[in-house]
Amino acid sequence: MTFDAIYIWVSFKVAIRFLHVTLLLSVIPLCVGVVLGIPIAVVRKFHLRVVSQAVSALIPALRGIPVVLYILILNFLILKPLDKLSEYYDWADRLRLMDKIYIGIVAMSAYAAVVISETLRGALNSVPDGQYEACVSVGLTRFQALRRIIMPQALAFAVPVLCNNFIGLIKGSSIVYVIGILDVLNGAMTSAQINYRFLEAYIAAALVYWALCIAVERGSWLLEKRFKRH
Amino acid sequence: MGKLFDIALVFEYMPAIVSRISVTLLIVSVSVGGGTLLGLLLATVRLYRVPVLNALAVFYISFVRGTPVIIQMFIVYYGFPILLNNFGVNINRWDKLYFVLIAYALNNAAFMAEIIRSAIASVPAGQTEAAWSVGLSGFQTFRRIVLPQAFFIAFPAFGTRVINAMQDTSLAFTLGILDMLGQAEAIGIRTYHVLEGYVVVALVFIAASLLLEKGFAWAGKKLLPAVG
Repeated sequence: MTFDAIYIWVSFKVAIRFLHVTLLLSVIPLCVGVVLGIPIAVVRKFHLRVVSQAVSALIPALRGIPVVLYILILNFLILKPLDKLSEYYDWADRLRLMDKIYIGIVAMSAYAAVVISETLRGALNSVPDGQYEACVSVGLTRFQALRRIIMPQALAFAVPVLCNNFIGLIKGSSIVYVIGILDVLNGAMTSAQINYRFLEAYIAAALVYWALCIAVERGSWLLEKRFKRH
Repeated sequence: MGKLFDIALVFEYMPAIVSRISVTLLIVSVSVGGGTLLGLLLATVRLYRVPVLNALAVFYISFVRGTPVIIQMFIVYYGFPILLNNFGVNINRWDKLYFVLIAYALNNAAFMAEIIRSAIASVPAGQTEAAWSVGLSGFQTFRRIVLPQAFFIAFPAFGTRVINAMQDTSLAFTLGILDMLGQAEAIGIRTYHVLEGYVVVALVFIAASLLLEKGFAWAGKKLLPAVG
C-alpha cells in the first residue's frame, strides 16, 4: 500500500457532504445539555432536599461512563423494544430503513446533559457568595436573584468552558461510527470502501473535524472578548 | 432471545469482562507515561520557542486536540506501516495493541504538553525575578522555584487528563482489541446478550473513574505544602 494525497481530496469531498449530520449530532445535544443542565446545576447549588442528594450521587457516576457506552447502550435500548414491536406488526422493512441519527442524538444529548450540568455548576460556584447575600439583602426572590444577578455573571465564566464542551461533543459525535450512522467519519469511509484508501479517508475526515474545532475555538475567543467588556 | 435484560447474566459475565481491565490499565499507563515524556519535550520546544520545531509543535498539538481520538488511532494503524516502510522497516506483522499504545501515547502527548506549558507559563514572573535577585542561577531558579509551583498548578489538570485518557481507551475495541468492551461484544456475538456486558463495562468505568478522582483529590491535598 502506498500513500497518495489525491485520495484525501476524493474522500474529503464525500465527507463534507455529511457535515450536517455531525453538526446535528453536536449542536442539538449542546442545546439539550444546557436546557437540562441549568436545573440540575441549580438544584445542586441550592441543596434542594432529596432531589439534590439523588442528583449529586448520580451525576459523578454518569460522568464516569465513556461516550461509546452511551451510544451502544441507548442504541440497544431503543432498537430492541422496537424490534419486538416490529416482529409483531411486521415493520421489518421500515425499521431497517429507519435513520439511526435519532438514536445518536438521544445518546449524545444524555452525555451532554451530564457534562454540561457540571460546567454550569462550576459557573454558579464561581460567583462569589457575597453576590448571593447581596441579592437577599435587597429583597430579591431566589428566582429574581438567579435571573438578574447570578446567571449573567455565571454565563461569562461558563462560555469558554461550554465552547470546550462543544468541541468535545463534535469530536465525540464521531463515535456514532460504531452504530453505523453516516456522519463525517462514516461518510469519508464510504469512499474508502470503493478504493481501499483507508488512511487517506481517515485523514480527510480528520481535516473536517479539525476545521470545525478551530472555528469553534475562534468563536469562543470572540465571545469571551465580548463578555470581558462588563 | 428471551428477556431484554437478565440480571443473573451480569454476574455471570462479570469475571470474564473485569479480567480484561488489565488491557485498559496497560493502555492507560503506557500512554500516560509515554505521553507525559513526549509532552515535556513538546512543552520545552514551545517554551523556548525553538525555531521551526515550535511551529511544528503548535501544528501537532492543534491537530491532536482538534480531531477525534478514534480517527487518530486509525491513522496510526494505517499510516505507521506505510511511514516505516519508507525506511525499510516492515511492521505489518505487529500486534494491533502496539498501534493502540502508540496512538494513545501520541494523543496524550499533545494534552500533556499544553498542561505543562500553561502551568509553567502561569507561574508569576516576579517569582523568577525574585530568585535571580537572591543570586540563583537559571537552572536553580527553574528547579527550585518555578517547577514546584508549576507542579501544583498542573496537578488537578493532570488528574482530569488521566481520567479522560482512561475513558478514551474504550474505543480500542473498534480496532479489534480484546479489552473490556471487546470482550462484551464477543460475549454478545456468542450468546445474543450484549446489554448485560455493556452494563458490566459501564460499572467498571464508573468505579475506576470515581476511584481515580478521589485518589487525585487526596494526593493533591497530601502533596500541597501547608499554605498560610
